Amino acid sequence: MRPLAGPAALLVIVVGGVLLKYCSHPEPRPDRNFMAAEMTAGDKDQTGTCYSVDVVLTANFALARGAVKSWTRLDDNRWTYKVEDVQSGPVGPVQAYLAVTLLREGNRVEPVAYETSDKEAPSVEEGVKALLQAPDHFHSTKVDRCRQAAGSH
Amino acid sequence: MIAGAWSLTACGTRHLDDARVTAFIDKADNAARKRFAPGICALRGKTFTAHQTFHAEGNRGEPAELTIDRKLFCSEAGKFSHLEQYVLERKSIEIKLADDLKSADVNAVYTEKLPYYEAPPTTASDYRDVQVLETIDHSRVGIEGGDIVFLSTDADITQTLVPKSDMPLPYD
Repeated sequence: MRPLAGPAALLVIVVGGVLLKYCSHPEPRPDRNFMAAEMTAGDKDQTGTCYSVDVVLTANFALARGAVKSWTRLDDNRWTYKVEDVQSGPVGPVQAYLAVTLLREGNRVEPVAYETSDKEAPSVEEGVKALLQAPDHFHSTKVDRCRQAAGSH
Repeated sequence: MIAGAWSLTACGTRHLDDARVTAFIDKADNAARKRFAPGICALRGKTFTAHQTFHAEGNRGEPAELTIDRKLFCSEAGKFSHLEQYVLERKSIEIKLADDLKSADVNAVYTEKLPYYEAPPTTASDYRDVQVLETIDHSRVGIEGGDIVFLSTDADITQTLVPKSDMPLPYD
């Protein structure tokens, strides 16, 4: 039986790997191009912010310890990003959340909805303005369009 | 070999009885006492939800209501692991098995004692009061993949604050 032990162990590993690959359900997430696209300011003119979706979300939420972050696919070009947490309120623990829905339009991504658990949720434009404070503060990397513009001055 | 593996997985729990449910609740209580998030989280079913009504000391208005899913619950369990002082005592337990023995309702009363942090602490000792939480807990447990798990929990919690000098908490 000993000569069969190695192949048998290999078989178990291969079968286990295949089962894991096809039976597990990884969290949905927009494709790389969506994440790398420039986010607009959520205004009528769709002004560019110079930051990619990935940079804005990372600068704001990468260090949010204990918060649950998730993507919900509405269609190929429309996704909602939600950050949820439980925070201590004045009368006990309360759920706090922020959800921003993003729509890909060409090579840009436009925030089309912005919701929070606050009683008075800000407008989309105000919400995006708040989100831009973190990448500004960290001097995060800007998209090529803005880097080239800055370099040409 | 595969048939052997299948027979092993098929050996899980198929029906509930009082002894199994009590043992499961004991295990869950011990996991809470250890404050080890993966251990706490593993006992919750895939579609687990937790609802709590929190009556804070001194609050004369509406209590705080919170409903969270498994993912957020598990994340909160992770925060729980930072506590260095925590006491959990179960005062009572009552189990009602469903007719098909596939699920059970568990009513339990707990007292928890833990630090009350008014602001995010720099050290674990940065608190003035101990919060005593009297919890009336209604949980539904069931079988998932051969294991007993919590399907949902509804807790009514009443908070009392006691100066820590009057109620020293052990470190563990």
